[in-house]
Amino acid sequence: MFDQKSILISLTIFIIISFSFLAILEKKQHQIKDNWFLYFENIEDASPNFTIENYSKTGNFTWEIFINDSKVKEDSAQVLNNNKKNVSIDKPLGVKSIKIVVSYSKDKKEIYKNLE
Amino acid sequence: MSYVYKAAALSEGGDPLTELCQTFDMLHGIAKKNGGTVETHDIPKIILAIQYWLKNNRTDIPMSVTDMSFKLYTIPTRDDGTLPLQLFGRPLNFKWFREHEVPWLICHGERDDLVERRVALAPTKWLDGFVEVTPFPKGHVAIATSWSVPGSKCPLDGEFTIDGRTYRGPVKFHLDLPAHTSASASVYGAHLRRTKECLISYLSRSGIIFFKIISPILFLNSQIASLYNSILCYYINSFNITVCLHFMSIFNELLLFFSSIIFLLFLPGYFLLLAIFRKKINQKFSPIEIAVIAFATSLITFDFLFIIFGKIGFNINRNSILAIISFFILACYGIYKLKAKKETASDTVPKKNNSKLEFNKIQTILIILILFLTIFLKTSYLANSIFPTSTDLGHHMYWSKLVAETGQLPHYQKNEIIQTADIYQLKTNPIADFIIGEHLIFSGINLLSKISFISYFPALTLFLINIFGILAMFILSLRIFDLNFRDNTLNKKIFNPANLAILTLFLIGPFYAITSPQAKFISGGVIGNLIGNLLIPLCLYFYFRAIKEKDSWMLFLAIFLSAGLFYTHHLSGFIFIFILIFIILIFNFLFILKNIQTNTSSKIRNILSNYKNLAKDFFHLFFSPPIITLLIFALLFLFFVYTPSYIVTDAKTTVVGAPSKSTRAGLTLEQFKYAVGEMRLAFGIVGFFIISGLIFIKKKLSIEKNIIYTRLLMPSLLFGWALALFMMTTKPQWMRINIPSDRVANYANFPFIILAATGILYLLFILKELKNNFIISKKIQYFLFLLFFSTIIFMGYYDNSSSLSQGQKNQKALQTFHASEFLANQIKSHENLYSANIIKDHNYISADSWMKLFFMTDYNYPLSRGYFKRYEDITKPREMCTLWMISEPSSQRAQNCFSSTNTKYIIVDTSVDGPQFKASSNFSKIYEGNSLSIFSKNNR
Repeated sequence: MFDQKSILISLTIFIIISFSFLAILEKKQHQIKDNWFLYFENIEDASPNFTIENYSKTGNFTWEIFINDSKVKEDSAQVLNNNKKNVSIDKPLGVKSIKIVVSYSKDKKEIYKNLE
Repeated sequence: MSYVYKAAALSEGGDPLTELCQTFDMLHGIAKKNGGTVETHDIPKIILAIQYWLKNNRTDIPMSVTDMSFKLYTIPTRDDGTLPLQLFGRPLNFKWFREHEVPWLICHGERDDLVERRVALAPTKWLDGFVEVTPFPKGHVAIATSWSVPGSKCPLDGEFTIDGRTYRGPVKFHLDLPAHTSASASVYGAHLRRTKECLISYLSRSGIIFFKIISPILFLNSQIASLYNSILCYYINSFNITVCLHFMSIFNELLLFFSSIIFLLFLPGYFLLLAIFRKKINQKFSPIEIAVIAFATSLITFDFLFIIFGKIGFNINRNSILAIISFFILACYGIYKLKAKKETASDTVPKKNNSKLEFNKIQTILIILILFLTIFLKTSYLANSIFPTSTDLGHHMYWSKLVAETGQLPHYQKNEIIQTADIYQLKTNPIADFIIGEHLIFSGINLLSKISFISYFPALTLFLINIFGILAMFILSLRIFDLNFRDNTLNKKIFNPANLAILTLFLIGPFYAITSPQAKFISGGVIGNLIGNLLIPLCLYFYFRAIKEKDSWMLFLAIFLSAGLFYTHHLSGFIFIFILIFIILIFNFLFILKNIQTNTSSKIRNILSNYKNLAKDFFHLFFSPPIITLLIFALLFLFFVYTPSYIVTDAKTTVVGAPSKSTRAGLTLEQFKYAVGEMRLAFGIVGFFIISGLIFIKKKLSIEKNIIYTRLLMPSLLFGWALALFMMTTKPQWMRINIPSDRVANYANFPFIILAATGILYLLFILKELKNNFIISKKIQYFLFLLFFSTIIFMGYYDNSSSLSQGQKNQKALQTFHASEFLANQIKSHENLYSANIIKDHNYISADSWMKLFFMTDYNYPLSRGYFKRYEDITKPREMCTLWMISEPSSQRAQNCFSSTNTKYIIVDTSVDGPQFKASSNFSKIYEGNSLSIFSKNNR
C-alpha cells in the first residue's frame, strides 16, 4: 500500500502548505490601514472628551470643539500610526450640544452630542 | 577602534586634563549640595559604575564586529540607502524598514558629541515620515543615566514634551506596539532559514511537542509555547524580535490548530474503526479509505458525545473535551485489544488487502497531481476570501462561540420584533434552520486551540471538510465499480475501478473547483451543505458495502453516519431520504427486469424465488445484534436525549407541499444543465447508457437463474441518485417539495460526475479500439484525445474563471469589527446600557453578521435592517420596524419602534444612511470611521 501512503503523505503536505499560507495571509489582513476613527470616550454622559485612533501615516490632527454651536477651542495633536490620542476637555456648564470636528489631511470627521 | 575614538575625543575636550577638571567640578557640585563634604555614598551610583566600567571592564570586541564598526565609520551609506556592510551574505538597506513596515524609533542625545545628531538621524534621509525620532536632552550617556530613572523629566517608559511636541521613550515605543506587527513573516522566515542550529533545535523540540500532543493527556499550553519562542528569539538579532514573535505566534497557532484537527477529527474515528474491525481493518479498508472514514466518523462521534455529555450536565470546556475524547479513544482501544486477544491463531487474517484497491506508479502520480491542482485552485480562490466576512459563516459562528463561552448546548432561538396592529414588541422565537451538528466542531477547535472565531480557522475547517468530501466521492467510485469491472467487462487496462475513480477525482477536484458547491461554499460558510456533501457519498458507500459484503458492521456505520447527517443538515438529510427511495425503486425495477430477461419458463416464480433469497439476506443483515442495538439507541437518543430543532419547530411543514414561490417551482433543463455542468451532464448521459448496456446486453448473465443482485447495486445507486436529484430539481411539484430549486441542484453534481467518468472512459476505450483495429492512426488517436481533453478542461476552467472573487474585503470588515468592539466595550462599562438594543444595516455594511460575536447577547442582537426586497415580499410578510428605524428615523412610526424595542444605538454607512440621522436633533453621533458611523438616540 506504498502507493496509497505516498498519496496520503502528499495530500498532508499540500494541506499543511495551503493552510499555513492562508492562515498567514489572513493574519496579515487583520491590520487596519489608511483609516482613522473619532469617538467619544464616554457615550453616555455629557463629557466632551474624545479619542482619535490613527491607522494611517503619523500626522497632525487638527480638532475644533463647538459648544452650543459656538467654537470654543481649537488645537492640534500628533497621533502616531497605530496609536490613539485621548483629548480631555473641561466639561462646561449649561451645555445643550457638543460637536467635535477633526481634520487630517483632506479628511474631516465629526461627532456630536445633542443633550437636549 | 578605541584609539580612533580617543583621538577624536582629544580634539573635543576629551584630553586627560580637561576630564580631571570636569571630575573636580562634579565633586564640587555634590559637596555644595551636602554642606561642603563628599562621602562615597553621596556620589550617584551610576556615575561610579560608568567610571568603573570605563577603566576596568572594557575589553576588545570581536574582530568581525570591529570590522563592521570601522566600515560604518569610514564608508558612507550609498545614495540608494545601502549600508557599507552585509549580514548573512545579504546587503542591508534602510528602505527595508519601510518596505516591510517595521516600526523604528531613533533616540538620540541633542548634545551628543560622540554620535552627532546628523549622524544619528542619517536614516531619515530614506525613511522620512516613516521613522519616528525622539531627541533626548543632554549628551551620549544621558539616556542610560539621567533619563532611565523612573519618573524623570524624559522617561524612557513614557511620553514627554519638548517645544510643544510630544515624544515617546524607547520602552514606551515597544509597549505601544500592537500584538501583531505588520512586518512580513516571510521576510523573517528568510532569516530563520539561515540560522540552521536554532531551526534544528526548534524543530526537534516541536517534534517532541507534536508527539506529546498525540497523547491526549498532555497538551501544548501557552507556557511551553512562550518558552520555545524565547529560546528561538535568543539566537536572533534583537532588532528583529518583534518580527520573530509575530512569526512564532502564527506558527504556534497553526501547530495548535493542526493538533486540534488531529485530536478531534481523526483519532476518535480511527479508534472506532479499530474497535469495530480490529485486525481486519487493513483487509477491509485501504489507507485512503481509513483516512476519509476516520475523518467523517470522528466528526459525527464528536457531535454525539457532546450532545450526550452536554445533556447530562457536563460543562463543555477544554478539559472536558480532552477528557471525554481521551476516554472514548481509550475505550475503543481497550475493546480492540480485548477482542484481538480473543481471535485465535487459527483465524485467517489475510496479510494483504484483497479488495484490489491498488494503484500503479502512473496512477499514483496522476492522483497526486490532481490533488495538488485541486488544492492549489481552491487555495488561490480562498486567498481573496479567507478573511471572515461571509454572512452565513458569521451567523453560524455566533452559535459556536455561544457554546464555547457558556459551555452549554445552544437553544436555537432569537428575539424578533412582533407587530400586532400598531404595537411592536420583542419576542423570543425558536429557529428551525440551525442544527447542532453544524456548530459543535468549531466550538471544539476553538476551545482546544484558543484561536478566535473571527479568523481563518472556520474557513480552513470547511476547506478540510470539502477536501474529504471530494475524497469520499473517490473511494465511493473505487468501490462501486469494483464488482462490475473486475471480470474483463471491457478493456481491463482502461476500464478498471482505479481509472474510473481517478477520472471521478479529476472531474470533481480541479474542475468547477470554485463554483458552488465547492470553494464558494467554503468562503460562504455553507457549513451544513459541505458536511452533507461529505456524508451523503459516505453513507451510500457504507450501504453499498454492507449489502454487497453482507457485513452488518458496514451497515452499522451507514446508519451511524446517516443519523449524523440528520443532526447536521436538515436539507441534506431530506434529500438523502429521497435518494434512498429512488435507489430502492430503481433497484427493484432492474431486479424485475433482469429476472424477466432470464431464460426460465416461469418468470414470476423465478422473480419470487429471487426476492425470497434477497429478503433472507436483508433480514440477516438488518436484524443483526449491532443494528438492533444501534436502532434502539438512536430512537432513545432522538426522543429522550436531543431532538433536532427542525423537528421540534415542525419545519417539515415549510419544505413539504406545493412550491410557494417561483424560485421553488423547479429549474428548466437549460438551468439544470448549467447547474450540473454541461460537460458533466453530457458525459453523464453517455455513462448512463454505457452502464445500462453492461447490465442488459451481457449474454452470460441472461442465462443465470439466480440473479446476482449485488451486480445491480452500482447501477441502482447511480441511476437512483441521479434521477432523484433530477426530479427534485426540475419537477419538485410532482414530489411536493417546497425548497429553493437552485439549492437542490447543488446536490445533482455528484452522481453525474461518476456517470460522466464512465462516459469519458468509455470514449477513451473507443478511441483505443479504433486505433487497435487500424481504423485510425496513432497520431489521430492522440489528436482526438487532446482535443477531447482540451474541451473538457476549457469547460471546467471557464467556470472556475467566471467564479473568481473580486478581491479582498478585509478593510471594510475591519471597520465593522472596530465599530462593534467600541460599542460592545462601551455597553459593558455602563450597567444602565445592558438592556439597550442596537440596530444595524445589512445592505451596506460589510461582514455585519459577525457583529453579534462582539456582543454575544442574542442571535438577533444587533437587530438588522435586511435586504429591501424582503420587506416587499408578499408571500412572507415581516415586521417593518427594522426598515423604518434606519430609513426614516424621524418618522412617528420609527419613533414608536425605537421606544417599543428600546433601541438606542444605530450603526450605519455614513454616506448612505448618515444624512437622515444628521438632520434630526433626536440623535447624536458618537463614533465615526472612514465609512461607518454610530448614532445614539437621545432620551426624550
